Amino acid sequence: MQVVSASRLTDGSVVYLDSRGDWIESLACARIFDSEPDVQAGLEQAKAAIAASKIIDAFAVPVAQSADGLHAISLRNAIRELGPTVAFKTSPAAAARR
Amino acid sequence: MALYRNGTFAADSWQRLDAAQELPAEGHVLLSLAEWQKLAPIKRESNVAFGVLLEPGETAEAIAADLSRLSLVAITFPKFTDGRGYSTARILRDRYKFAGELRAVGDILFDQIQLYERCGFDALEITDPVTLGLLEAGRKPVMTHFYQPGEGAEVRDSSSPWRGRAATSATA
Amino acid sequence: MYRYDNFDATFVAERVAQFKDQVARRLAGELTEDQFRPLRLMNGVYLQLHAYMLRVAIPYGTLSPRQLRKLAHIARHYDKGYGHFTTRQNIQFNWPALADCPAILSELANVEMHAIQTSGNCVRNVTADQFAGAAADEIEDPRPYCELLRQWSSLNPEFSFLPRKFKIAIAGAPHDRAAVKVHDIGYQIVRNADGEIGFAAYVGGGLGRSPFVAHKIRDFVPKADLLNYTAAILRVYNLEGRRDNKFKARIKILVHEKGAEAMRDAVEAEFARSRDPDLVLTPEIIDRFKSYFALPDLPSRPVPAQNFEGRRAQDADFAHFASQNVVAHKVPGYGVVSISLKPIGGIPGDVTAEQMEAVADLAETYAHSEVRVAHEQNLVLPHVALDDLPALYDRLKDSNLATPNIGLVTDIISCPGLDYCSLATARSIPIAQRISERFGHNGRAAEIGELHINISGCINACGHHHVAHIGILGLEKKGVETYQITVGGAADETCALGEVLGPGFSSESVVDAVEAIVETYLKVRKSRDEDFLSTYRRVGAAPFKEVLYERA
Ligand code: HEM
Ligand code: SF4
Repeated sequence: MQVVSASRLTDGSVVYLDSRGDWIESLACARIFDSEPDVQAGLEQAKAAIAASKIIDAFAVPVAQSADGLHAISLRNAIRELGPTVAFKTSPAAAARR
Repeated sequence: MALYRNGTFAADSWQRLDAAQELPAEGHVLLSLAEWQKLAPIKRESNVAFGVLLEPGETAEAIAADLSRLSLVAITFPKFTDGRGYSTARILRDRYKFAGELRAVGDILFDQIQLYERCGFDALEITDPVTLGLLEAGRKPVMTHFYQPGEGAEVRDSSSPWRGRAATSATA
Repeated sequence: MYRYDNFDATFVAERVAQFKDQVARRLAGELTEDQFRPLRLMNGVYLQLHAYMLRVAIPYGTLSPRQLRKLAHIARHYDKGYGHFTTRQNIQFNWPALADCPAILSELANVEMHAIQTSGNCVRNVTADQFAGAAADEIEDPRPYCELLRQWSSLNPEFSFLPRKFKIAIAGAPHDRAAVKVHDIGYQIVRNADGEIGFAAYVGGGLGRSPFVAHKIRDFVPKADLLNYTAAILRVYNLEGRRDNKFKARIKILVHEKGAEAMRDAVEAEFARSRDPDLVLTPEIIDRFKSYFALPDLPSRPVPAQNFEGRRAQDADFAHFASQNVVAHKVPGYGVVSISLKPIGGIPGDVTAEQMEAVADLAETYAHSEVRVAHEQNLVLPHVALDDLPALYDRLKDSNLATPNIGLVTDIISCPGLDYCSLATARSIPIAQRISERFGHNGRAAEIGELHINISGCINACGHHHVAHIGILGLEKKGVETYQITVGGAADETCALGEVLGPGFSSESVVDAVEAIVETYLKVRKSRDEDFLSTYRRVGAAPFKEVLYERA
């Protein structure tokens, strides 16, 4: 099982390809590709989005279903999905603004 | 491809000859370093204007003794990230006082144009379509203040001897 | 400190305008990512795992309170409210949007800062000793020369597309606090037999996947020749450095393959042939640049400092802070105060916007409005009257900035690792946090004494693990983080690369392994005066190997 992920051009956010061809932030709602040809088709869609300057650096992410939903398997992709594993100190004002 | 010389597009009168081709009686002829080095001395004394094309790794020293016979030195930039030719150009201009045309050939991008000019190139053979588009639209590089001595039309800034300004901005 | 004149201001403004245009062209799809990447990198914009990252230069580590407040503002307004100080005297913002970067750079330009050449295959931010201009042991302040090099290397037309990145550091004192021997060029300020001051030139140091200690190629470069000599080195490197393999492209590989002697000959020949009169530094120019970095007017203060001595006698915590975080100043009655960004269990080098503002205020009140950034990822107030130290200490405590651990086992250098970095093979910050927790209580770190632990999250060695007393390198084996340990590295004038002890450790066991090494050191040291590095140099790696691998 894989999904296709990339970084959004404007802000570098982690995004995933969904079944409507949009690039969204939630892995849980990403389109799942079960076969290698399907993944290739997903990556082709990514190429088009790269050419259209929507996203950069697309790649396939192996995922697995677990008790709490769909998640990336490798540590690197899990960190991309869930954010840093360390509790960085954000300032209250910046947190409020976001 | 188009030749951009001294800030405008220009026609290219130079002809590239390879080993198999006969040397014409006159005209502008561009040879590889190897072809040039093979050329019999007597042929060098013809009516032809000669140029040599240096590939990365071929040095200015290799043609230093011949520069009085050369009207053009072209330097290849196989990738825009390969910056060897900038040093070669400066050595030709500063050390050997080469006064003929210095031409950059290869992967040349808009945002590097000033670097080329400031290393002494007066002509650029441009193939990148985006760069061509910008130049055709009349776009010029924007930096007018430089922190180190460069070649070309620059005037020294009074604040420090190594600082310079683009000649146009200084007179403006 | 250095103040921009009109020339500098115009230069940076033009550069911001240029980048703004490049970003607009990129967002409009007129530039491809392949074409844009080098442009954004030359302006300090990277792509990390979660977002873009903006790396801002803090030239030679010197900051004014106004600049620090601007960094706080940027953190709060464009980022998530914090910044990360790195080993290269830069600050990194981890969450800016690409579209905001030109605005951020333009705000930085207002306070005479920029991100020019904080990435790319060009001359990077020139770094210096963080105690420059203040330390008692200094021969001369390196910063005027760093500034000269900064200017000359900015958008240098000949040296903007080198084979690889190029890092220069200058140390002003015999005790090297700038790690000059692990830089592409390291200049050590020295006095020659005639009493003149100049630079010993080291070339070809570096860390990364193939670490090298630099070779000295000249005992003495006169001040007048600093730019021309640097240009000669760069020209030899630009023409001869390898471009066929990114991993062999640094100057260290050229020096290694060519040999230090041949490198010296090539540089000397180039220097002799192409000395540019415009680049000769006249005494007038040097004096002008020195005047920018003149010591502030420090009113004379009583020695001994009674206020200071009084508090020290009564308050053990304060005394500990004073002995750990304060070093001698050139001027009697003053001290150089380091502010640790390594709270116990915290993220090395991270500071919140509020803490930046607090430090800016304190610098104005107590430190003649100067702040420094150390390559150990700490801040420094370089000119503090010892009698003001009690008040400063109390206020640092209020902001959670008074951790008394400079140079101790909890003062860990750590790169961002896999929590942020797209090149990482393992996390480094959580390891740093756990080591810090392990040793950070009940006076344990002070009992251990000076011990530098550095952690990198991959072979690129941004965390300087090769030159740590105990170095930790995070790798990945079959999808699992594993940590390789080295001992005996040093970044100072006795520079040495650490020795690998053996197979790596899991994330769960690596902190225990470090503890076993430290316990072994405590057992074999002759006395409290024999620090970890000296002990290692006496006994070698054997006792540490034994405790890690043979007893198991
Ligand atoms: C997005 C983040 C970063 C990336 C992509 C990155 C990339 C790299 C790479 C590829 C190298 C190896 C260069 C070589 O051997 O040729 C390197 C070395 C280095 N980096 Fe980073 N780095 C990052 C963050 C940092 C940080 C946060 C610091 C400071 C804490 C830092 C400081 C250094 C230092 C000191 C070196 C080793 C010295 C040397 O250049 O040999 N870097 N970096
Ligand atoms: S050492 Fe590796 S993981 Fe750490 S910042 Fe550098 S490139 Fe990233």
